[in-house]
Amino acid sequence: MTRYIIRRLLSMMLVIYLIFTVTFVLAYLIPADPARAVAGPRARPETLALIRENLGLDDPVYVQYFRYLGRVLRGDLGISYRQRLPVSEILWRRLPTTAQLAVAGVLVEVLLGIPVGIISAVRQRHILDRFSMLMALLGVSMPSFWLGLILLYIFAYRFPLFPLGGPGGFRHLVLPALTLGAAGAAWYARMLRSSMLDILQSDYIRTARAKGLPERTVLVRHALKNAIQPIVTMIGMDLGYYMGGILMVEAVFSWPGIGYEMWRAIANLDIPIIVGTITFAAFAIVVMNFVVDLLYSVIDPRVRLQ
Amino acid sequence: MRDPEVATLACGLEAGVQNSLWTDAWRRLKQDRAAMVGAGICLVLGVLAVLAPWIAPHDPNLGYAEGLSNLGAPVPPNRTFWLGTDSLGRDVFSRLMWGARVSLLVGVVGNGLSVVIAIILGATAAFLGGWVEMVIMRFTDVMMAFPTLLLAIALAAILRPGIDILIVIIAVVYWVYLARIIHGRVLCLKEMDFVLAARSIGGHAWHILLRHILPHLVSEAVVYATLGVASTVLLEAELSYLGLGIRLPTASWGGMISEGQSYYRSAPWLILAPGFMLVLTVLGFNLMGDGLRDALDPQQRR
Repeated sequence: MTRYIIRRLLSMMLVIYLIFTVTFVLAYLIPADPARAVAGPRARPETLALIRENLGLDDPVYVQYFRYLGRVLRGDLGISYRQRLPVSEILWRRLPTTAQLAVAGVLVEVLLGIPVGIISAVRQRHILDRFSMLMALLGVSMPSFWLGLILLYIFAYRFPLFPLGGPGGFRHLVLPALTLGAAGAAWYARMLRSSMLDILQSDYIRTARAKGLPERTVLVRHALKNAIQPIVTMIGMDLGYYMGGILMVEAVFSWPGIGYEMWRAIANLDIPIIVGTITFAAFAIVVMNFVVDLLYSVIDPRVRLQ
Repeated sequence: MRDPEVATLACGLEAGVQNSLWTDAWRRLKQDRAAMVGAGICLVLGVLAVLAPWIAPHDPNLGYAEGLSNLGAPVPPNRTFWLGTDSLGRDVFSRLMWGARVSLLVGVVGNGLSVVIAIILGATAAFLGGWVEMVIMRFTDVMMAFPTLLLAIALAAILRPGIDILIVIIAVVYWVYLARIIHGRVLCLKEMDFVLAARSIGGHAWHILLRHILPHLVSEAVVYATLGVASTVLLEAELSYLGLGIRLPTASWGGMISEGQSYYRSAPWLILAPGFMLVLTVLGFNLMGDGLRDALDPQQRR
């Protein structure tokens, strides 16, 4: 087990290092002059030269690269052009808001997707199955920002049950969480249905039925336990994916998380925030995948042996 | 040496049956009602997009005086403007048709490009092995760590692209998934007997790759060239909705939703219509892609 963890840890560190390299290239590609972005359009040449020297923009590429690596490793993602605050501080402050939406969204995915998947598998070809799979197909085909707007129109404007957006308590969270969770729930339902159908045909299920176990026990203890494993992985990966900001949903609902911050940065061309956010997002995904792998190797010992 | 039968099964190939893959696939596809519905949707959308300049009832970028109410508000659907007008008095229906051109062009070409990149990189990595494989596959790992949407947004925000660069951006953020699959397939294929045979009669490495291995990747390529469009069309819509894709006033579905957003209380058709087009497109390509995957899967051959 320890050897497995160490091996995964080393490969994760390599990937993280490469992520930082890619984001450096991204930041370096920018055609706009960073000094001008800091100083503003009317800055005098001397000011620009001074800023350039301060930011080290005249140094050779490799010097800038190593300085960038040093900075990022210390968690320094640069200073926002607009807000004049460290990007890491901004992201850190927004993280709980995004995390709140992410957890609520995953909850919707699980509470909606898993029961629908089970029912569809058990009642295969039943009208219930056909209807749920049609809804699931629509769910995966729908752009989340559009679903968000439709939900706003119906449930906030026509029938004002929920607020039109912005941060707040439970009532503010309902529509964004539904918007975020709909597509995921549809995926989970489709996946769970097909893996349940596969498993229900297998020999050990026949054995379990043959020895006279109640159908309920067969479904839950034998079939579901195995069928749900890929979904456990997906839940972990979804959470990692959402931590880097749920941009479309946060933009539609003005939910002030990391994605909202990046959305505003796009309009202002605040490059440090844009690059900082995707650095953080990739980092979150890699770390989350690592955690999922570790948990998985606890659940399923076969993973460790590979 | 591996047992050839095992290798054959593992690569999803079937010995003995030949040349009938496409006829077989077509036969199965025709029986798949969902896939045919999907194909029909894609066909209709494609025709609308190609013929838009000739059959669109109005000029998509012209604000019509009769397209605005006395108060200057958008007009709801009526006999002249079948799907109503937008805040500038432009015909929504005509803009939808022109938007189909943009969405499908960016989605189809961007996705096609990503399939090409994926095949080149995935196949090269697996076939050459060694440090080439190491570099390419590590790079794939890293690209996979970036969320597709955020990476595309960052690139688009930095480069402020026209339609050509937009297509490249979509291809660049999208090739990784297929490259992994192709890599696995080629790793498997290159151990097979027909490759050994080609090599033993002195076939050059590139000749083997192009003439003996590549043809086996065609079905993957076809399936992903279809399924992928569903995702790339969505990606284009998201970028255009954020104002990072196609620039106004050129019509694109994402852009139309973003423009219509401010009026959605009084003129809900402004977001409903382009959204339905998006859902329809994604649904069409998903259905057709799923159908193709089932039809081309050799293990389902009967």
